[in-house]
Amino acid sequence: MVSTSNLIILGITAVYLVVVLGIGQFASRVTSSSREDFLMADRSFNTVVLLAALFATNMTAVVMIGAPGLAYRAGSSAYGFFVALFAFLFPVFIMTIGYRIWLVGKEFGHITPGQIVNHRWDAKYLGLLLVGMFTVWTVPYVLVGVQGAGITLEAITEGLVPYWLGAFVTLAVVAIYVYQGGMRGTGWTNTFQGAVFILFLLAIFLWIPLKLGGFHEATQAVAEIKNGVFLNRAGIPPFGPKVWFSQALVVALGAFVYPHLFIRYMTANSVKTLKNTSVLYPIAVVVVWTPAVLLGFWGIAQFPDLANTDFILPTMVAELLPVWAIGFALAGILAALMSSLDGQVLTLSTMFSEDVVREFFDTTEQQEVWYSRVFLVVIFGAAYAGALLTQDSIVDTATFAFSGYALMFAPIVIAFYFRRSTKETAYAGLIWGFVGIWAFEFGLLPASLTFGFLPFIPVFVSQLVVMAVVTYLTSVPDSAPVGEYEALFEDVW
Amino acid sequence: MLRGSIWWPDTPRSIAFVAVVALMIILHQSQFVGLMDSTTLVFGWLPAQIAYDVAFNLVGVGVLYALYRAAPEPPTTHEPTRED
Repeated sequence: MVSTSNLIILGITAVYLVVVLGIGQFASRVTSSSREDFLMADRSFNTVVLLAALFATNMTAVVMIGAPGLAYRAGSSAYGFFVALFAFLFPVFIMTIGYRIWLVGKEFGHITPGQIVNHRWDAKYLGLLLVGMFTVWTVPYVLVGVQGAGITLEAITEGLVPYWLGAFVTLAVVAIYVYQGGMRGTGWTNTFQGAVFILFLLAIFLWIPLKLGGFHEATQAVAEIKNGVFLNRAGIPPFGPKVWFSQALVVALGAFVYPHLFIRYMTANSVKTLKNTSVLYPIAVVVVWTPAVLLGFWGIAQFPDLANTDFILPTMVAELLPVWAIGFALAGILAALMSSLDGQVLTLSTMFSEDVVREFFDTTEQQEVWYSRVFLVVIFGAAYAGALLTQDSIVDTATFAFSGYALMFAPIVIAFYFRRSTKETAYAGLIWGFVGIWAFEFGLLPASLTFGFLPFIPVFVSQLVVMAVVTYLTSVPDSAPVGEYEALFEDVW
Repeated sequence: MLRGSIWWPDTPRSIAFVAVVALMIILHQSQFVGLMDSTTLVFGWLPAQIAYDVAFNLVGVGVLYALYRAAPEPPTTHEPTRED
């Protein structure tokens, strides 16, 4: 319904979206029509832009909606469960494996993971398999972002902006700046969007406890519930040692091979930029996740029995803060969603144009950029249609996709470390991991085979065994450029 | 390729690196430091588990900074041509 408060909220949100579009427009003015510039920003990102691009792209609806929701359901241990190990291992991977990925991109001019594996193992269709698998795991993630935008806009405006319109406007804004500015458009807008949602979270992290009487009072109210069950891991089923360990590995390994992050490792303007980003990344995680988790945790006592636990953060903002703050809250939530959507969709279109069109058809560079833009429009259209049809919840979709990505970690990373590996090793690992995780999902493999861990662990261990066996059953062809890679990685981590 | 990397523990530096990564993975299992059922509040309001996790990440920053200082210089042939 139309009210003054709704108009204030929508006004602030509209200003935010216009600023994002303006940044995208500015980025497009310095982006040429060359393939390297449109798809890779000419490999020119400095530390600030790369950190923002990697961080904002990775911090999806999971941090703004999922993290407070998880803390609301399971307590303050949500931080350690989801991101503590990731925030250490992911930067370690960037500094070591990412270093090699960056070098390969720079030396051979590769843009996508598919091009790297095809070249490294002298394969023709391995890249195509990667595109297919990445698409399977990324499309649901894109839908999650569109869903989140539609749901949030409808909820906060009390139905004034219906789900279909909220999802459409958000997608349209992202589509315009990605279409115009390509990788540079996403990098620059991510820098702004990352700053918006970090400032928003820090502001409400200080403001909301003050409304509750202080940090001590806010925590004490939760501590008094069921003898302090929400203060620790005991008695919370997902936080048992085996699932705790599994989840940490799934998130750390899965996030590293997200295609939208993998491609961005190669956009760094130097190795020093990658190294700087690695050191700063955990600090960004601490700054964002600590408020997100504690806000959800404090919400347990203030708003018990929420029907949809994912809505604890918008509920707290709406109930405890003035109307203009709700406008900024909406902008902050949209910032997190849009800064992930852009990278995911640009990456999917890049993979289709590079690994399918360029690989199998004769095209010019300009035609390729044109195809990338066509794919962008098609993917945005499909994402919108999917968001109108899907019934899945945000957390369910995200958690399953994490496992899928994580099972692509080993088959891809061995390209940079194992001289003896072959394309058959990679094929076997990818297919084994994919089939294995779906077999558990559909109940074709009994849950007892997980031994209490998440299904990822037994599939991952068996995947390594399968890859080792296949490696020693096959031989490296003379045509594989192993020597070039060895020379490139000499004296490199 | 693996043997020349930091992940292959054949020098004091790479042994230390692999050991620290393994130690961090173990330390992430907070039950080993007695936090499984802790109701302690740090500063009177911060649950011990999340305080531990944040401290774990800040220690991680220290480890990453040490890696940053120890990492080999990249080949000069791959330096940037321009910067955004």
